[in-house]
Amino acid sequence: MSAPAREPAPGGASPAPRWRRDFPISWALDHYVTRREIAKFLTLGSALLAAANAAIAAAGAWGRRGPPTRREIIARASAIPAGGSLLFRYPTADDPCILVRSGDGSLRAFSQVCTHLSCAVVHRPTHDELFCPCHHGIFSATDGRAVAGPPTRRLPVIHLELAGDDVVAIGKEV
Amino acid sequence: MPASERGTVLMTAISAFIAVIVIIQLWLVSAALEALLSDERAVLVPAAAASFALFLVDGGLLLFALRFDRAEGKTAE
Repeated sequence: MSAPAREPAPGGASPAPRWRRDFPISWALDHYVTRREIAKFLTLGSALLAAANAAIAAAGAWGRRGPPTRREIIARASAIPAGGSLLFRYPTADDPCILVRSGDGSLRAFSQVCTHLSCAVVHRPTHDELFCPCHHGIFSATDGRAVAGPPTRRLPVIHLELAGDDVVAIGKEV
Repeated sequence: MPASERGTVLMTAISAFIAVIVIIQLWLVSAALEALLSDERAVLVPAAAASFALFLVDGGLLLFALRFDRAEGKTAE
């Protein structure tokens, strides 16, 4: 093991180790943090976290309520065969959704955005389920609940109404 | 046990307890955010109340420690 490099000191004084020049901090001048200061900082953090929780509760009470529900014709029922599906956007152009017809002939619609990491789900009529190809998340095509894979929350449901042959979206339940 | 040693033990214990409470509050914030994004608004107010109660416990512990210092005539470790 080689000896640490030392700088020659002017005037013949004992040379200071090189690390001292790279790290010129004296213990005596260092700022000590006492336990009391740590406790005070932690209590301040506790106050900030309590305020953050209150802000979240306030946002939940008065904040985002979602776009107002509106009626919109999204498809013709006769155009979707059993096991078929159709993509549409509701309630805004930024909200992709999927309309599926189950094997029993019932129509259901869900948000197409996976609740795990927002990939687009696809319909798998053979298993009557909605499948997310990104991480193999699976949702029930009956009620949108997560049944396998990483997602833990169900897909938002689009409420439908039939008006003659028209399939009408009447609201979104997150 | 001398007063200075008692003060050290007390402050260590209180600091550790406050740190645990802050970690619980961090979990509460993340759980409340998750609930807000899932539109499960019923849990938001209880989470905020619990977080505020934990802050009161933190504040009480800190006040207790500072009063202990004052009673012992000590201002810093």
